Amino acid sequence: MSDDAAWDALTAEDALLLSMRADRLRALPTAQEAEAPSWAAEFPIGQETFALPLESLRGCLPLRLVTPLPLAPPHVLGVVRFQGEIVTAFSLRMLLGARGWGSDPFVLVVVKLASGQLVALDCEQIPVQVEISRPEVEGQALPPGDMSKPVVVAGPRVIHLLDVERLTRRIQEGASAD
Amino acid sequence: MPTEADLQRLVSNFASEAKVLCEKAAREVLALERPENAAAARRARDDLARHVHTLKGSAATLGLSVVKEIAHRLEALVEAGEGALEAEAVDLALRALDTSLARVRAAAAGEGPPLLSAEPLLAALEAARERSAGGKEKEPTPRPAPPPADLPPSNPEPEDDSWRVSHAHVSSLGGVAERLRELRLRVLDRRREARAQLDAMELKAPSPLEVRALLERVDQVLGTFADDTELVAGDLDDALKGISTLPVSTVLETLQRTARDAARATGKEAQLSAVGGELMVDRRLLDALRGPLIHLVRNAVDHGLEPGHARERAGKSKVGAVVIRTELRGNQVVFEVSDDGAGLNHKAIRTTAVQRGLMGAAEVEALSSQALEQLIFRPGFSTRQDASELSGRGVGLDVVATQVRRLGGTVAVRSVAGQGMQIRLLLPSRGGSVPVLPLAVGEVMVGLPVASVESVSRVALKDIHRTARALYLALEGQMVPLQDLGGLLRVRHPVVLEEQRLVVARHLATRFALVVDDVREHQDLAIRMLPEEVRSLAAYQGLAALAGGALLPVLEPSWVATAVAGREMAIPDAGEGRALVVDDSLTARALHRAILEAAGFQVHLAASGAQALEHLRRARYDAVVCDLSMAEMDGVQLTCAVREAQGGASVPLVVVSAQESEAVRARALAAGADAFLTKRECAAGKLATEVVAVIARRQGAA
Repeated sequence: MSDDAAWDALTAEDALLLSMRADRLRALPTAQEAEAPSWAAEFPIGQETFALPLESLRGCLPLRLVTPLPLAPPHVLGVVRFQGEIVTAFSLRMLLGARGWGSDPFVLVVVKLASGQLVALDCEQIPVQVEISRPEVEGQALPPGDMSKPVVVAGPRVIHLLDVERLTRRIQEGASAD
Repeated sequence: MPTEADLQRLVSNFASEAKVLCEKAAREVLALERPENAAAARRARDDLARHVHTLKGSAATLGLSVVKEIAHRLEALVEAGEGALEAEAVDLALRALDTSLARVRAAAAGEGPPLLSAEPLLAALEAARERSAGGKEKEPTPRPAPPPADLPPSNPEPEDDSWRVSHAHVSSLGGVAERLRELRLRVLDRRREARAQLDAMELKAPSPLEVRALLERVDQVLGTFADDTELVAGDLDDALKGISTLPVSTVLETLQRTARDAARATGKEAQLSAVGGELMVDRRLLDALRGPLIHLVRNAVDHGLEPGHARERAGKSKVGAVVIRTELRGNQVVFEVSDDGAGLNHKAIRTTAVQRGLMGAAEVEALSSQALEQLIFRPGFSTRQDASELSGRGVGLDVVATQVRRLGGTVAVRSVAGQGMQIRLLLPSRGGSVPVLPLAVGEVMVGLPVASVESVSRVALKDIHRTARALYLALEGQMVPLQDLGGLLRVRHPVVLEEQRLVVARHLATRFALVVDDVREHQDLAIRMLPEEVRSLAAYQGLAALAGGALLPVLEPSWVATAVAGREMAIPDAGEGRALVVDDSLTARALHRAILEAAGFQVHLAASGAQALEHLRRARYDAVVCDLSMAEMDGVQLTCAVREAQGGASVPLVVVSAQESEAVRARALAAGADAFLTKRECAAGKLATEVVAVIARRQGAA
């Protein structure tokens, strides 16, 4: 029996099951991919270090380019142009409810949210690339309400990896600090 | 003799003409159903007969015999009677037009003859003509019961990405092209002259005076070219607008038909009226909005309006009103579809949201009315079954919202129980720019559309009248509400001073006056929509990009008019403390503002020592929070300046700094600060308590 003939002999239900199984297998990472580390961009807020997944980052801008928007809520710093698009700049400290302060922020990182929109977030320093092992990223689940989870990176140091989905939700709901 | 291919091409071209003719004819048919008077009915009959006659003639020429016959019988029906058309005759006439157009389109697409025969329609037209000719005095035929089934289809039309362009518009574009060629020839002439002069200079070294004369000449020529190109660009812009825009009325004609069909199908009576049909809007936008607007009008009639008997019981007119209002706001277009029906049923929305699993019962109860009403745009609310559970509201509204968002716009809904609802679409209109007047208040720059500006002058305090909480400008025998723009925007304490700049503007019938620090030269700017996260800020129409990339927030005149009349925005509540935050860090200003506002202060911001002193000159503050490390004037210098200023010796003043050292703290306190905090301490929540404590200490000392 040829392959085509064998396929033709399957019932519709069998064909559906096989096709679902194939989809699941395609979705599984290869062993190489499973071991590959994740990359993130880390930056300090006060005495703590936070990080954003590198794939969500789109660029950096000087904070001074922001045009303040009177009457906007306090967590909105203003608006800024990025590659022809107008994006809203937010105070990440206020979005996170962070309590520390190292130095005055001077840079904006442009981030692509889970919704696909671009927003800009203020940072105290230009972020630097950091490698995070896959088990650390995929390890413990994020507790409800938290925006970041602690992960251990080389050093060893503990940094707080931000969850872009939850950041998106926080931005859509407005900052709790307001 | 034309070949088959020639004939097919002619039929294809005729399809566009037939569409226009059928649309015009349908408009007259609808007008004939409820004519204002006998003269209006006569005019409508004449116009209708003319359009149908043209359709008949063209169809006959192209060999479309069935279309010719339908048009002929319709023409006979129109000419047989006088006055208004009965509802059944209107139905029949519209069916005849739809069928004619469908047959022309089928022929244009090269399709074979349709499966359905036109005979029943032709017979019905003939019977109606006979009734109309013989029974002018007879009783009107009773209306048939409305069909309980679905609404008629929303007139889907084949995709057509081609435009009909008038000869005048093509000619004007040709004229612009001609002027551009002339301009090019002149540029080449001037270039040849310049080249000749440069060659002459190679032979004889020029004196500085000769070089200067040459450069001045070049400057003059370039200036003339700049002016000429601006004129040509303006004409080109106008010509393109003529081609790329259409009056909104072109969509409204279809919607009239939609409203009527929906009313007939549901056994209701509805009158659709339109405001702003004359406005010219990007035709691509109009094309894309045709479907959503049809949805909204059908929804308004089908589910918004109550049946006639229920309306009468509620004290309303039996005929329901649906209004479409269009407004141009800079580079944005507003479409509002309102009805005077029952409004949204909040209880039913809550029940459906829970049943559909969109959210829990507690969550849905906690929603504000506004958030609750937004649920009707969720896909879960868009099925017929859901709609019936919701008194019908929500059919296809998710489709409307999706299409509007795809176009970069927003949808908002407002409903008043028993009085009706309004759905408002705000969309960016591509291309073109609008003149905007930049206004400065302190360090803040905002724009106001020039279209709303009446005059710009200087404040003369003798013309300003005060009541307990308001200011008015006496202007041409009218008392115009006046307000400091900085106060409205909450960026400073509102004080009106002699000789400040005064802008008198208007929104619809409401005049208002704004006091500002400076008025810059107006600029033609493209206004873009605010990013989604801040789009709910009603104060702004949008943002305009200035040369160099900076952004200019452009005020929404309707908001300004309301805010100036309201005044409460500018005057702090009694007992609300006033704090001034001075910091050159945008983030620090924002954080300190949030903390102090949460503690009950009205907060103004300054990015420099000079700005802070200006604020302090305008008003008394209950507390000043000032950063230590600022360019030009640091916190210590500012503290000294405040203490030396009149009335400044007793102002509670807290210095903050990112630096954490005893020496820094000692410097600040020695300069006259009441307290010193590190920014880490501020962020940790100590700022509000320290400010309150300092104020209390100062008051105790007094």
